[in-house]
Amino acid sequence: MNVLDDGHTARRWLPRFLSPRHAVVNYAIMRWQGIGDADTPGADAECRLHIACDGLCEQVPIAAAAFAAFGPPVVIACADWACEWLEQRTIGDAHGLSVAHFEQALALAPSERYAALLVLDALAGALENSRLDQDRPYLGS
Amino acid sequence: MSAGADSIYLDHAATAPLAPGVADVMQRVLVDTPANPASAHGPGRAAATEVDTAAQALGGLINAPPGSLVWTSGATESINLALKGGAEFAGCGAHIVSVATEHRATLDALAWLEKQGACITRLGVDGDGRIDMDALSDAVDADTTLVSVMHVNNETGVVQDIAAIGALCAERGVALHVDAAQSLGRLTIDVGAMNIALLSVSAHKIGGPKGVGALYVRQRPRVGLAPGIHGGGQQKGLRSGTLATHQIAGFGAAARHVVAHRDAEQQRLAALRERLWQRIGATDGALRNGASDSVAAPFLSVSVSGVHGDALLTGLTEGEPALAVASGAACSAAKGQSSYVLRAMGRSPREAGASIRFSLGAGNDADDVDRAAERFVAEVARLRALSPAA
Repeated sequence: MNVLDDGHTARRWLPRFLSPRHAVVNYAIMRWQGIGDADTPGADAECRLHIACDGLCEQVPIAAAAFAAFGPPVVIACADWACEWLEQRTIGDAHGLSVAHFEQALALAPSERYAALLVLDALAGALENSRLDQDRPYLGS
Repeated sequence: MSAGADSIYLDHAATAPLAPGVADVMQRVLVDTPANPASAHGPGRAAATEVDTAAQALGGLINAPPGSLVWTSGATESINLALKGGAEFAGCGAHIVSVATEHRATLDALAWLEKQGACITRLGVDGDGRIDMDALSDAVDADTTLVSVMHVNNETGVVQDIAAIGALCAERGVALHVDAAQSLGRLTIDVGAMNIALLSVSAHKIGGPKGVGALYVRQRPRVGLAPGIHGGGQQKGLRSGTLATHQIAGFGAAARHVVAHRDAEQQRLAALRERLWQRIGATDGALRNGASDSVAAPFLSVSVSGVHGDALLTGLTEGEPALAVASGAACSAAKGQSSYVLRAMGRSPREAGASIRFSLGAGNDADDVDRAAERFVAEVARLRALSPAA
């Protein structure tokens, strides 16, 4: 750690903030099965997670995941990483995603854990939403 | 100045690169004049001459006699010496009038003094960042020992009318301390004509080295100050310690450079600043902080809606080309930790959080400004497209 910094980390997540690959604005999917929202007023951050999948059971793979986010850079980075992690994993896998996965992949500082929790809250909403909406297939490219 | 192949340096309010010739002067003094300037022998007198030469240059920049300068480590130390030294000299009845938008060096020193029993009055500002002279007049009473106002705000570049404030203080018989860290070399300063009793400056804001500054202390009528650092009694006992001759010589060289180039350079920077605003001002939701006719030439402070302040600053400073710019605060707006300066000017916490300060300098040209504007507009658009509100 730089002697002038007060807890500033290596920000391994920075490239994801600068060049996120899973922003929903870049997806041509017209119909997402699950959309979940979460916010953290304390950090002035919001996250919306979108998932597309055919079916409900735990073994069904997630065909696509995308995000929209407003907030500090680490929020955008966590949302982007989560979407990448989710794609081609199953609904059952998605239920098992935890803060520890984010911490390990992105080297989050303790003060950045809230971003992972925010994304997980949004994911929980998206999974619940997809359960209610599972009979409608996605239309994607 | 382009700070690198993919970087544009627009943070001269934080630190300006060394002015031409400064490093050479410092090297020469460091090597050729190694003695202690307080020593009575020949080499010591040679070192003292270098200090005197610098004092004449800096004194000329603010119209102060050379013997009225106390060398410090920078404006923060100068401010602490002025405020704490003045309050200690005044005794338990100190009453200081200052402004809510001052630099942290002033605000934190005042908060400390308040805990020691001093009475502090903090004035607000209007939407353009200016203090109300009637409010200042009302705040100054028979018990007031000092008025402390910054000349140019470090976040917005807003200029306070120091001549008018000085006239009021002179009329009421109260000493005026001015934080001139951001105005030295940019605006005309005349400590006599402006009725300034104490003036704090830093070298590195005008192209001098970091680690050296000065406090002007009026001699007649004399301003009472208690020492800030005790020891060998250097600098009339106000700030003991061996003088850093090469640092001080570098400060003097930077002052000489400013005297030769200031007027033309500030006109050039004002034109560049307006060019920058013309290119980014059309961005939906962009607001300029401080009226252009009351902001020092190199400064442009912009608040923008619909983006998070920390994301905007990080995107600008870490993207390509990287813009070396500053924000009032990179903290969460919702935590109330966004710029206290901009909130005092009436900006919402989120607007104040999403604010960028551009501060131009000698190395910048129209190409820098155009590329910076293009980056700013693109980054705002990128972040807005990522938002759930898009």
